[in-house]
Amino acid sequence: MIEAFVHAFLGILTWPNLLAMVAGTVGGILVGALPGLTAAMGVAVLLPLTFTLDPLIGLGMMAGVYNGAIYGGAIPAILLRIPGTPAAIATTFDGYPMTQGGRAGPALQVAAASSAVGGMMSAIALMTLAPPLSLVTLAFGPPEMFWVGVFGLISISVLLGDDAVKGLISAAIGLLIAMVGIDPMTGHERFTFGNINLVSGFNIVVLLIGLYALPPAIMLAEEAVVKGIDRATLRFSGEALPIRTLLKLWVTWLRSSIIGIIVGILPGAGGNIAAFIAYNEEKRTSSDPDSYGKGNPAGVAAAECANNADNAAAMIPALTLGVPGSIVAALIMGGLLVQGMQPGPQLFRENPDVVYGFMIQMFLTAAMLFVFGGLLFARYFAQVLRIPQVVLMPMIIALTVIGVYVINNSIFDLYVVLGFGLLGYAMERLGIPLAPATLGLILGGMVESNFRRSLLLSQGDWTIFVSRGVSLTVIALIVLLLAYPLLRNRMRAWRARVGSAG
Amino acid sequence: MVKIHDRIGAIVLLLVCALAWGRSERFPTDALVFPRMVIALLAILSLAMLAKTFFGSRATDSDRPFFINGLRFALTILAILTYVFAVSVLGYFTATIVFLPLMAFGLGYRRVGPLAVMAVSFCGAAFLVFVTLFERPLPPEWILRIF
Repeated sequence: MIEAFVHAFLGILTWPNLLAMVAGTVGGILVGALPGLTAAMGVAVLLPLTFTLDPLIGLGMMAGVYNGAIYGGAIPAILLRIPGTPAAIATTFDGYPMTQGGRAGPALQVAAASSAVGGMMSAIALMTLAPPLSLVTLAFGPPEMFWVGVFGLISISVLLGDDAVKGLISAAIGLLIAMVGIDPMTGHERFTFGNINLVSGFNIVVLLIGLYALPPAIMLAEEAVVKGIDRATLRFSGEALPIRTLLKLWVTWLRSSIIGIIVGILPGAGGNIAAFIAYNEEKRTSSDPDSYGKGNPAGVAAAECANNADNAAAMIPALTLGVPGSIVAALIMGGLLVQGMQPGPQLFRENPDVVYGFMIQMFLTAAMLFVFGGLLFARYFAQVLRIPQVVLMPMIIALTVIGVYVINNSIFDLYVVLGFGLLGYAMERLGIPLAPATLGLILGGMVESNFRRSLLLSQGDWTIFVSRGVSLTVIALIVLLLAYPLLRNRMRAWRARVGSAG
Repeated sequence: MVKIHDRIGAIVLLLVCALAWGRSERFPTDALVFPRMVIALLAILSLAMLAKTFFGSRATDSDRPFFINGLRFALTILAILTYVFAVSVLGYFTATIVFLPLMAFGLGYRRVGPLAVMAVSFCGAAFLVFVTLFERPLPPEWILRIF
């Protein structure tokens, strides 16, 4: 394994790779700094480029966008109390009060350093846990892989948001769309409606761009905010915190990184959940809990460290089991699948340079936040908030169109992306989360093929799904997950009764 | 108001399930089982979503409209459709250099100078990245077809 890392590291040390990581990190910070745009959108728009680039260069750019965007959300969160990404909501609790107290510069520094540390710790967890975990899946047969896919779909449907029914609907929609095209086992066309363009099914990248890039752009057009943030609001003083002051946060960083890594491994629980849990833990264990919410740098550090620690850890189940821990991990996995790289132990065996190289890139792009998150760059990145949304929106559409067209040189794909953009818009407005549908699209083929293979192996005997220890364990976890919303509602009702009685 | 949207959404999903179920009748048995399981699951969940709109708590309802601005939504979709059609007929850069400033102007941004700079810069950057660097073919420009 060490040899593989060394070999992969040497492969990364090329100018195109380094430039791709820098460009991705800078681009990611800009995307994350803009409210309304997300890391998922940034990665979705970049996906078509991975076809034209060497896979490692494309992955390096995506690693940069991922780490950069999650940090970038802290900039407007601290300066304006507007989180640039959902993961930065907890950063506003103490970040904005620090700005109000004239300490915007130190707040941005703490955010950058904490994001870098969290991202690097997460990448180390990915490097140490993913390779041995991938070998565990060698014990998994088709029934186990079927249940693992179902577990991933149910966990993201139930843990994300408050409405498990809508989450499961989203997953089912994704599974249904994934079936369009030729059935790989029988060669029969399914749901093509006689359209030759649908015989190969929908291109996953086109779908992902439609679902993630278009709805925010359409909403920007609907809101039609003509003015950007004025320059005066974005000014802050340039005093820098001494390094030893930052290093005093090491306990916060360690605790928040562990929280972020654990949350990252769970499918469905994203950076915003990690940030909230870490912030609450930091406040709970503090000797001065009343100072939180009033400009305590440790509050900013906990939130930012945890939300970045979620990043690489979310790739652990993605690379080993094919079940991504976050929506961006799902998009990156989609990019790998399109390149013909299947998650699991064969990925580490057949493409070691790519997979180990990607892990190193996650580490390096997190470390780059020490540089690009500095006060000098933050001052420039903040200027992107001056661009009016009505000017941004057509650029997003134009970038989407060219990105989708270059995948297959197909005008049909442009209409597909618009169709799925409208679907994504309708789902968002109805409160149906997009993440389970994305996972359904990515896992649909795997879940179905393992389901049918299991039945072939057992010659039609359905008890194969409940006759093995690993399968039963995963089924038990699924049952617990399905019971979770009921338990959560009961707990909330009990707390409300206790609170009103008190 | 959200409940009305959920009702409409659930009914649409049920119609999709009915259509998909009917369509799946043509599939061979092996290719049929999994799709029908998913369609049945989607139908059951849609019924659950529909039922919640009748029996769920009123406290969870809200006045949030489905569209942020219905007129702008319709015009935006129309503009994007027109842009995509224009890309196929006129070429990417011709369509884009017209779409970018027109769309922003239509949404209320009135400073022509910055819009012109934005349109030219974007097209220049797209040309450098996609045509020069990646050598990706784009829909041919109408003016090149004439000559």
